[in-house]
Amino acid sequence: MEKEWTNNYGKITIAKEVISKIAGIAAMECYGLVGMASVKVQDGIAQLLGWENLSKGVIVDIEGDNVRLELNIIVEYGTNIHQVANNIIERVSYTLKEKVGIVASPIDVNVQGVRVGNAGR
Amino acid sequence: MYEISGEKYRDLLLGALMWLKEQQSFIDSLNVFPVPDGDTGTNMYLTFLDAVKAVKKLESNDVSVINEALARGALMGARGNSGVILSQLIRGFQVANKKNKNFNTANLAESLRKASEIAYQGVLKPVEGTILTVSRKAADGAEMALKKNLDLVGMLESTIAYAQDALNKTPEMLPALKEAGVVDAGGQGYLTILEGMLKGLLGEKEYKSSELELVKAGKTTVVAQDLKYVYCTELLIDLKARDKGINDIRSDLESYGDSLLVVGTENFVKVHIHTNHPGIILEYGLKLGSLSDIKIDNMQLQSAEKIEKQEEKTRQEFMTKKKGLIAVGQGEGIKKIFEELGVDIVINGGQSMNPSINDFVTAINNINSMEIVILPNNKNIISAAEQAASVTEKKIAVIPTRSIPQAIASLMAYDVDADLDELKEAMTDEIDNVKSIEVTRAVKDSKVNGKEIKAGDVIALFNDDIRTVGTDYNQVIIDLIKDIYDEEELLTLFYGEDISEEEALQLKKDLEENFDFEEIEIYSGQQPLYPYIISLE
Repeated sequence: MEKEWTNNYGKITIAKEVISKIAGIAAMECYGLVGMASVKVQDGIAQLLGWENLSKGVIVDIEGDNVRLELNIIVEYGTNIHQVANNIIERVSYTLKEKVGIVASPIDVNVQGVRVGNAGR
Repeated sequence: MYEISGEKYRDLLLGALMWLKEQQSFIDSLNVFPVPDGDTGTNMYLTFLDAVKAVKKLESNDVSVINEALARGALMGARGNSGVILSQLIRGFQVANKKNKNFNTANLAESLRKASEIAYQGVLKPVEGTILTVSRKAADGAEMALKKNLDLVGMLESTIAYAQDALNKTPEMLPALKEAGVVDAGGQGYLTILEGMLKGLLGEKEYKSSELELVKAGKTTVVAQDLKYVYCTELLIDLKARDKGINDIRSDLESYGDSLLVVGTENFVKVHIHTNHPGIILEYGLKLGSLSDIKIDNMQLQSAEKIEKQEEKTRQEFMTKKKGLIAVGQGEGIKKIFEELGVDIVINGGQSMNPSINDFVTAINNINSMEIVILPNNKNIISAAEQAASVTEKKIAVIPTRSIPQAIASLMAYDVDADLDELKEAMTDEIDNVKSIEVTRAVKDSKVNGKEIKAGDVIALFNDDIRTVGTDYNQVIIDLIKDIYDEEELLTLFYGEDISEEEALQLKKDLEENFDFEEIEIYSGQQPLYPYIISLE
């Protein structure tokens, strides 16, 4: 389902893909996040997605006026994961409101993995 | 000076912390947003403060151990995006100094390089023109100085010069910065830390003793000989004169010592204080009435455990109130309104002046209750309130209010007898029942939401979002209300210190002409910075 508005002149619809892409890009700007993950239904294993596919890590659910988001993310080892997740939620919520005019709630963040970089050891 | 001890290294950290504290609001002002907003500088300062606090608890003076504590403190205390980046930079210092007892020029160069490398790893697509760029160039500057065999002072100077140069170029790399005419706030924060380290190295500043305590090797238990105030003094006053309330007495006595507790009724007041001048306290009491139950103990003659035990007992005794209320606000009028609504302590603070965690802790300790509700009334203050809640033994409920009207709305659900968790929920629910408008002037030129804003323009914010711009207060307010009006019945108006009553009455008149509110109430809030704060419900 898409997000819809109607005004005096006609109807505006925004596809889920648009919302997920914008949310994905906004999340990517957050420090500490190093990738999005897609969880395969059959095996439940998180897979690191490339830049091109990042919107696959964002699940958008639209019911009437409600837009819910679920972000599956991978963070860098050594960051305060709780704080990073908070930053992401704030940034995504702000960006969707500013750019699309959508108030998404709730925005859930699932931390699916931790990447251990090479300089940290 | 090519090598310094861990003890001296602590001076570098302290220098950085103090300089960051001084520059905090300047860094905040660089945020690309035209209201006096408190973000990057505050976040970096609070993160660094937590890091340095972790160092305080250490007895060791090994640079490796200090950096480990520093990194852990920063990790736990990271706030906001800039705080998380700073914690990674500090982790670079930890990784680079794993085996070092002392700290030399080569260590500094390696630390700065590692800091930058680790910081770059934490983001998928590093953006140039940010703190990351500044950190990389700073490391270049240090390596250059190492090649020239400069000492630590020369090296930090070179590092700072490179960082400054990189920072000056950030507007060229990021259009948003150029549009706003500022440099990157995070980069400025990192530069400030480097500058502060140099100041600390040179011993440029004299620090207040309380600040020094933060980084000097600490002892975890109170040792009797170190007591700042020696005499634990308690007395009961049978009040003759009724001209002083409990809050007056508390503020009168505050400067004579610490651990101050004052409770009482209209007739009796009980006072507990640690002081070096019990005589003055007794004399003060005598002026108010007759004294009884006087107790003066010399705490130097008691063991630390005994003091702690006794204090605990006293605290329990003094916790006579079921619940306490703390609110943050600026302006005498706002303060009065809060007090009339039953708020025990109003902490002075707001958009441009965020109260510290310590301010909250002091207020929490000053209320005679084990359960306390806090209304931060600004989005940038909520985290400090929550932080304070986590360090006290008392049960605290922080209601995430972002404005004065939200606080007043949530107070409508306040109930002394309610369960604290349920109360928090009920009060939080009330927040959404009110619309808050804040009117201020832009502090610099900028562009927001496609609107051209000049410094000095009147801007009206609805839910922290700039909605209307203009030159006339009344017009800007009317435009905004037209935009968001949804059959609200009551409009409440708090006018600030720069607005006269006539001006406020004129605004009321204008509003009555334009809208059909059932009631418009106006109050003198005397708040600074925001000429008008308005709520609709």
